[in-house]
Amino acid sequence: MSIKAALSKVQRIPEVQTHYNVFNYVNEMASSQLKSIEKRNASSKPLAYTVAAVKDNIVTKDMPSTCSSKILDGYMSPFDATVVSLLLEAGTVIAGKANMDEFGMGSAGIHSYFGPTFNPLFKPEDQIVTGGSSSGSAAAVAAGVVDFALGTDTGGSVRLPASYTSTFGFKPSYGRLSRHGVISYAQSLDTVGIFANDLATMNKVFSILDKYDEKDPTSLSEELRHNFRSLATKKKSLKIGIPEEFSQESVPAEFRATMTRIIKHLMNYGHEVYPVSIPSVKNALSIYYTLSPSEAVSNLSRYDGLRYGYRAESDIENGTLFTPTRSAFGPEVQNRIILGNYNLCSESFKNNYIKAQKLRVQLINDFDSAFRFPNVLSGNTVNKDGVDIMLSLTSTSFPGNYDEVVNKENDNPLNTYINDIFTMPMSLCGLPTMTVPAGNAFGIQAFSQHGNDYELLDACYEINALVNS
Amino acid sequence: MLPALRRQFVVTVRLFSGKSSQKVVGSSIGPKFTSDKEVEEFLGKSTWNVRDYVPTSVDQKLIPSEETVVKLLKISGLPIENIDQIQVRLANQLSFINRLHSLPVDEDINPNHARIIERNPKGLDYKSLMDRVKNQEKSQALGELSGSWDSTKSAAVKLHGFFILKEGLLKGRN
Repeated sequence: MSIKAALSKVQRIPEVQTHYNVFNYVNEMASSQLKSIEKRNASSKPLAYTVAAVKDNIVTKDMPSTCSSKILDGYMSPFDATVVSLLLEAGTVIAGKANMDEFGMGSAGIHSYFGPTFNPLFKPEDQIVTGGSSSGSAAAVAAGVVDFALGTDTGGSVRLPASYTSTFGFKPSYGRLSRHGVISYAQSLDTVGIFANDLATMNKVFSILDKYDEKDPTSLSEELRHNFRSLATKKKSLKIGIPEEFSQESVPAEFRATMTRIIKHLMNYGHEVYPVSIPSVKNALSIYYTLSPSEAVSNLSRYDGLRYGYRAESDIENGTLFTPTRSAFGPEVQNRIILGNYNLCSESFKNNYIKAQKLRVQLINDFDSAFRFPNVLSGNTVNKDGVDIMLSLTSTSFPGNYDEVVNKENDNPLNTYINDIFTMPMSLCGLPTMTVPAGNAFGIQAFSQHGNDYELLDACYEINALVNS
Repeated sequence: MLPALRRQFVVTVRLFSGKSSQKVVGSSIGPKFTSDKEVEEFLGKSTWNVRDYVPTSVDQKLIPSEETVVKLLKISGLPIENIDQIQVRLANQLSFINRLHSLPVDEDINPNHARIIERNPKGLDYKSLMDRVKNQEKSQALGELSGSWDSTKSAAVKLHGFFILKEGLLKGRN
């Protein structure tokens, strides 16, 4: 990392911003902050002379945090999120707050109060989507204006845009990275993730952020982290599973051919590859769209205009409190609030919400019985004949043109919900998962048991080398 | 499951405790791939189609009543408008998530285990609870600062520690 390279990245931001709408807020001080690193004796810090983008749902005290929503327009947090503090302490400079789907609700990067983000792998006039919800984070890395970016992944929001932009996108195990200061969408699923153009940067940033945080009640304790380390082993030959439920006839032939080539390479290099079946994966979408809107309802109830961001002229309309302010939520957010409240109503609570919770446990148990690394949290019996990691595609298709995506979604919103079919099961189980670029605008996912992040990262080095061989 | 592999898959099957006629099929691992041809065959087939989850037309039976939609909008704090569109959208979403109703599940499962946290954490005993209370400190990082919020600030009439709150926090509420 050099000052020259860092400044050159920052200097390109205005041009990239004009064409691709990557940031909601650009830090105009980034260049001067980079230049002052030596004066501040910070040049030996691990992330000195690196530039990062931070998704706009991760709070920063020196820049606005809006979740790409009018309802948080102009909101300034009084504190930095823990992950932001850790990055700043490590010497990085934050280039700005990255665009996203409002409150993380979307998979294309088109639901933002600040307009859609376009994919820097393509010409701006093609208006190809980046995927979402961490659209700006992925685009900033793909455009090369930052070294890495923070995103959040609730059902695939790091991995899908990583796939569409040919970047690495890592969703660590749930609880690894602190959520303190991450504006919640669905707290049982929300996970801070990282984008980078190379695995060395990814590894470095992850090791800096991988810390217990007492301010996050779901942060994995030191004791659990110690257990993970003592259970991890270096293996020369991996047992790799290919789950058949992640295969769809509709995927492009190029995806299938690439996946086949990688598996053959892995076998040639002495790894054992097994077919795996996890039938409950088919339930993941229905479980996800029952649980996540229900959690969102609770998290978004705080936006009444009294404490945060935007407030309408009046607090009441037709006898309902806060409606004028809450009308500022975008249409997709409103849709999910309505669905969430439907699921939580007494008539459907048992049939929908509790049933989905039970099916989620079943899904976790099914993954537990397929991995040989134990699930320390569940305490389920370990399958000694299980696999170490699994591989699948990340997306079902190439990214589409903005108008096409909008039309498809207007036709039926479920058309976009199914984009996450390959990413949601791991979110529901909290599994560490990495998207590795496998071609132009598509990637493959490697994932492992909860807590086995470092073995997964090691495996990704090898997979990446085989992709490029 | 692929027919060629079915014979040798090691399948986990859990029986329902409540409804004995239904069973839940768990995960399974097939025999190791030994040739490129096996890999190609495996990846060339799919066992289900996610498009089947997207309805081609709206199921009229699933359209919620206008009364239900108005109630949902009120508890959501959202404007009561576009009711027809919301009814159709909800019906589409419900066709998708109502699939859950017919799925078999082990009734003995504790739904609280759905959270990705330790299922059986160590209990907090009396002594450790009291120690925590004793050692608890205000966290500046969490904004726990004495005097940082004046709860009677919006009261225009204050005297000797007494106040009259006329204005309230809400705007437009007579």
